Amino acid sequence: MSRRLELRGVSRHFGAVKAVNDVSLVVEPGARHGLIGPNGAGKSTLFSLIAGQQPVTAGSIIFDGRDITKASMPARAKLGIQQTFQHARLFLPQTVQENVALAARRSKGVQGALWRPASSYKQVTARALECLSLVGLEDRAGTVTGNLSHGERRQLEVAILLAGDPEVILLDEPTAGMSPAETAAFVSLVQGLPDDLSIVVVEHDLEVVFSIASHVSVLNLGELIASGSPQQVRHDALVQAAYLGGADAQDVFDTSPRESA
Amino acid sequence: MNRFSAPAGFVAAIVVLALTPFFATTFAVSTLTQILSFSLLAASVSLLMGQGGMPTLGQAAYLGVGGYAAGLLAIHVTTDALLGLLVAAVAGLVASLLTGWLVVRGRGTYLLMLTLAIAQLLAQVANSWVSVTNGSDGLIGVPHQTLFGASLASTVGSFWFVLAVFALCMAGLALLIQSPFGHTLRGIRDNETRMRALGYGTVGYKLAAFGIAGVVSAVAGSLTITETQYMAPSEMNYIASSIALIASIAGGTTRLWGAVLGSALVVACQVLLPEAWQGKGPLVLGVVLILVVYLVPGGFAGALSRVVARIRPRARREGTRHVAKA
Repeated sequence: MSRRLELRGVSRHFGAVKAVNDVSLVVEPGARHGLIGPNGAGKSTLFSLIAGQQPVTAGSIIFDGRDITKASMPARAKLGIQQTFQHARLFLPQTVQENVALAARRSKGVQGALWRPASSYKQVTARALECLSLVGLEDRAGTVTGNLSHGERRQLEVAILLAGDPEVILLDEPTAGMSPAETAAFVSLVQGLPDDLSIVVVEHDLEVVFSIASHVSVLNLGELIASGSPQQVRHDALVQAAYLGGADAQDVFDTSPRESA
Repeated sequence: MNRFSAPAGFVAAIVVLALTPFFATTFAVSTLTQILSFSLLAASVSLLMGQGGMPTLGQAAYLGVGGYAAGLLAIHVTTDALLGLLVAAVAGLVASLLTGWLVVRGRGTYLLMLTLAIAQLLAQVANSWVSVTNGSDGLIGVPHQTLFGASLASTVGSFWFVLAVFALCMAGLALLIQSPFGHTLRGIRDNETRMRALGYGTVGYKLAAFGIAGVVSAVAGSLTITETQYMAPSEMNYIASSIALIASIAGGTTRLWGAVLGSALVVACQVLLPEAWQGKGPLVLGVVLILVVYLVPGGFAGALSRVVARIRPRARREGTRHVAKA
């Protein structure tokens, strides 16, 4: 069911700033792919390029053999590429169940139906509750989302993703701001997700990355500097340099004359 | 509990309204007629703002489009009121889709400014296209509309017709708000970017809402013709639109019956003021709006809901947000 995602020389430049530069990587079906790198390495930008939130400056993105470089964000979500956001983006005034139901209605194709009450679509309700119980939020279905704790909101993010029947999910710093207990619970939640689902996770907490990912890519200053198994990456000299602050700060600011914007 | 009692309450309200001509004065009935047709305009604003998160200062323009369409039809072709409604609705749909295509791409203040600009543009067309619209004097000499050959000239006759159309439109909007489409609109209102990330092409849904609101407003315009046999550029400019916006906000934008309460307030400020206050309607309305915004956030509908919630706290927790247990 799950399909292959491939980035070919993907770049995103803001004037002279190369937020993401010539990144090529492959996410195999069912992969557990970690994406790490210091602050400002371009991880979140890379995610937004994959999800279609912003356009690439160069390169192409292939999913399931199809070039989706020009596809809009909603179109990519329909194809099955979905993301969580670094800062949880939820429908705060609505109930937890309604948050998930919005995703479930879209994946069931009934989101534009006009006359029947939304509550009469039993398959949507069932799917929403199923996804909530997968992440352990079934008891909170009727709660207004704004009243959830930080950790619960992260769980809800995952439930929303699952309800959208994704093929590839992009988790952007899912455990940021979580307590150690919440982090541990979240890691086991992700470990328990269906095997055929491809997962790409950006994370600062390397323990989390190494316990989830079977393949790790390292970004620094917008470029891919290493890619391999957690073991290989852990011992890579470039990675250690990047994390220990060995990278030359001059690289951050391109000193060549700025192109006219 | 709400899902079961709301339709019953709605039907009861319509029945009571239908009986008013038997005990109320002609003036009261004609005031009610005005409130009902204006409510449809306010409800279309509520649909856009309360459900879709799109504030508008131009909705009366589509009332004008519908009013002119129905008025011109009555003058030149047929006085049939149902055909008038149909032609007005189609004209409103076309006008709102053509202009909405641009509007729904804006957000927040920009969207508001776009609606304002388009409304003024349409009002100016009505003003300048004298050969068709008779310019700033408005359509004069519109004959009374007829229903299946019977004249709707009497106050009571036009009241019943307006009430029936009002009831149908409100029921349709209520169904719409409960439907998946309504939930989609509220999702867009609360977090449009997230909706796009979920796979919703949000522009299309917003445009659909704009088209539906345009149809409802145009129907209100056709009812204005039924009731007053008159339509003029001043009925469709930004001042008229802002009064509809005020009615929607005062009543509570997220509930349909809020639009009716708000419209009652607005019409009352125009026609029910004592002799000495004649012409000071806008002033009174302004003061009332300030009071509502500060004292009853969420409008009358919000205040009433809070009272109901206090009386029936269990019902609110379990019922109003459509939480279904599988």
